[in-house]
Amino acid sequence: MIQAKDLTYSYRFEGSKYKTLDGFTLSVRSGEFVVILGHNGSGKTTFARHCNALLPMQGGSLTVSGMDVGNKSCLWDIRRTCGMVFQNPDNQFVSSVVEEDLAFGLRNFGVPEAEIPLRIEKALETVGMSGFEKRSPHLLSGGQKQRIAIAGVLAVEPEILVLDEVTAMLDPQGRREVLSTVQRLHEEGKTIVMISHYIEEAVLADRVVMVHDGRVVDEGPPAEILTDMDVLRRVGMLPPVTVQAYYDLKAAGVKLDLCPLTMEALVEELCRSH
Amino acid sequence: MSVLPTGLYQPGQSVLHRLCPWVKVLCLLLLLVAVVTTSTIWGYVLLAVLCACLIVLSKLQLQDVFSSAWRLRWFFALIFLMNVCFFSPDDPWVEWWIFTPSYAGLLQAVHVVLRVFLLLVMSNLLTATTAPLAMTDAFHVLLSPLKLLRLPVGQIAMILSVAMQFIPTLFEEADAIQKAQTARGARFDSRKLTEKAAAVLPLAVPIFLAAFKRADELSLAMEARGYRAGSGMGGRSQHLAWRDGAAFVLCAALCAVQLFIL
Amino acid sequence: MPITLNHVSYTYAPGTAYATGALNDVSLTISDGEFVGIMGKTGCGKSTLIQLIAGLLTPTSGTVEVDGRDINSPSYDRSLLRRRVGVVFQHPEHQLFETTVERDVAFGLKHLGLSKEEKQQAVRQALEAVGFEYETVKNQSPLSFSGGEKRRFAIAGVLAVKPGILILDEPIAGLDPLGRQSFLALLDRLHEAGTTILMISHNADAIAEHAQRVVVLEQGSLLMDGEAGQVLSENTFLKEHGIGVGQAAQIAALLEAKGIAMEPGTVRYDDLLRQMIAIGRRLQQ
Repeated sequence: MIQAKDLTYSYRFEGSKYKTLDGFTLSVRSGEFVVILGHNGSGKTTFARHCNALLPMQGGSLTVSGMDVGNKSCLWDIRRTCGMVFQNPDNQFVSSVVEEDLAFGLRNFGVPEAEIPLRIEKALETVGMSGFEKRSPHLLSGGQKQRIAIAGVLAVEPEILVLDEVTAMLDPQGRREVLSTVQRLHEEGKTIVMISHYIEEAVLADRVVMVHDGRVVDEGPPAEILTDMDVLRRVGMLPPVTVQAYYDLKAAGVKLDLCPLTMEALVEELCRSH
Repeated sequence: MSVLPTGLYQPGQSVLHRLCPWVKVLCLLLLLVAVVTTSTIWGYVLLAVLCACLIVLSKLQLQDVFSSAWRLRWFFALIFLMNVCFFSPDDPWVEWWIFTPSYAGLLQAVHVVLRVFLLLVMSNLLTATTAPLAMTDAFHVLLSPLKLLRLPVGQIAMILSVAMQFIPTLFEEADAIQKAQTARGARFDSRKLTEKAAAVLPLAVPIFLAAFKRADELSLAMEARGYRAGSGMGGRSQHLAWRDGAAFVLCAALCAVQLFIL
Repeated sequence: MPITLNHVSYTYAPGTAYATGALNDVSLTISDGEFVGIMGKTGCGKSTLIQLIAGLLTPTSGTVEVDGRDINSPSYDRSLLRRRVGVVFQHPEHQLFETTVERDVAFGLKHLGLSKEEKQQAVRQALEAVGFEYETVKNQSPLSFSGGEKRRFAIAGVLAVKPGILILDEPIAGLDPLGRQSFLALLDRLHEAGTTILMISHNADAIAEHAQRVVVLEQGSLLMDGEAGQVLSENTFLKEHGIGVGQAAQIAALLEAKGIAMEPGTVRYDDLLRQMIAIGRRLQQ
């Protein structure tokens, strides 16, 4: 679905050059749910924007669903195939009416007018926001806003969904809402690339990618990556509390059979640690 | 949070809501001409009756239509008094310092206040019954003659409508920044002119930066959602129905009556 | 008593769409040197509460006292309040505007009548408190730094006045894990030095680890107010009211559900770990 090879990108600011991508290589399979973790400034957002051809290619190669991102003639097909949702829910809406906002993308991509209401209805249903057609996005809660933003992208029926720190500005309730929506989309077969710096969100993924200084440091299933203290330390992330507990218990002489990623698993492990 | 621009769109299914947006804008323009040229009692009565009918037809809450006028009540009072006191230096009731209140002034004041009030109510009716992107389309159609001058009409229309969207958010942001700077010791309520002037920078710079940041993020989001400057939104066909024609004829007739008969 | 709210109510202008966030008859006393966490759903009135304490809003009814004086009485000198109470708003990095870091941090010192040396000293201390070297950053533009660094400058600008009471609205939202950790450590240092701290946060873990007392608001009224361990261990109650629950408290609750007796008020990681080690050792024998 997504093939990135040796991507490099740097921008200029007040005369100096800043490298945000430096040999970034990653491939994402169809139907996969990938979470990209890294601290602020690690280059993860730059990569996400490349997937949508929002930045000019500077070095390396990137294909999305077989289309070359560097090729200008594919631009609209790439954006149609790969939908993108951003961090700030307030800066994504073009209309103060939900259904009109959803129609924005559809009209841009030339979806026939007769089909638009059906697509809107379906997209809202998928994110659990049916009945909000006439509401104003600005007056909804953070979680609802992000679900509307996701619906706006889903209505276009992309194959891939790139989510750039979509939960960063939400309260716990909003985060739960958005994450369960994302999980449902994954179960329905969408390819999902989620950028995050909340390590707890990576537990849900099929594969976790650790990014640091513009390149992929390590990748693999959550049980492997999120329990590797060396990698976590190297990229400046803190381990999930359950992993921290595993190592702290071990240091105190209490050894669990496996390193748990969920609280339930930790309690389970601890209770049969004899 | 305390300032909310008025005339925000209120979704609905009334005749007014269903009128074609650009016809609606055109009708408003005709009515504005009618309001500005009115000078007789009957003219005002006619327009007031029309406004009342439109409000009934629109099925809007009275509050939605009149709240902005109510908020501007002090402005109305001010223009009223100014007209009474300054309009005519001839034949005043009393003469005191620079004030010359007169009957002619009173008459003019009534005229001006009524006109501004009617204009406000009519514009509110338009914005309350027309969805923002529909407004974009209306601008697009009405500005399309400018295409001959090679002006990017579609983009101008989009900019206008998106800018309107952001007004409430920017107000909130300005409020938040003002509070933050006040807490840091900025003095916005100072009477000294120098301090007042010095207080502008801590407000203006962050508000501009925030507005730019928002605009930047929004443009990125719009691009990601397939917006291409210069095409895209303009392709929406707008079907005209009999009611659009009827509305236009009615407004044009009213305008003509005001201009030539009353 | 540095902060006392007596039956404070606040209603936003009726008729506006933003009628949420009102407060309804809230009475609260916060003592010197406390670290209070404030929680509640979006729109519950927490932001209104801190704006009332900071004197940025005037209560519709009731009084707000700081150091025993009604801050809304006409005879009260507001500049006193500005020196005493520092407020860090959500996304404080948005309030930067000066051309150099030094000038921005010194903005709040303008009206305090300090000498040039005193000002410079205050700016230096504030910048060092947030982890910058004064000489290196003082002449740079604050806007040329990254988001996290900008936030630290903005906080230095608040700390420069040396407020005895520090109020923070979601100060760690949007920071990455290490940024969060170092920021909370700074708060702990300030608290140890005697600063009274009021922190709004959705992050139950941060509140559990750092606050001594927790106040929970719901629809403009006090829902809970008590010692952190006591409030944050009410998992089921908090969840029912849509408030986030900390991870340590959740694990403690899961262990209790397994029939293991936990100490009441286990909401901090260290307390949890100590008990888990004991449980593990007991089971291994």
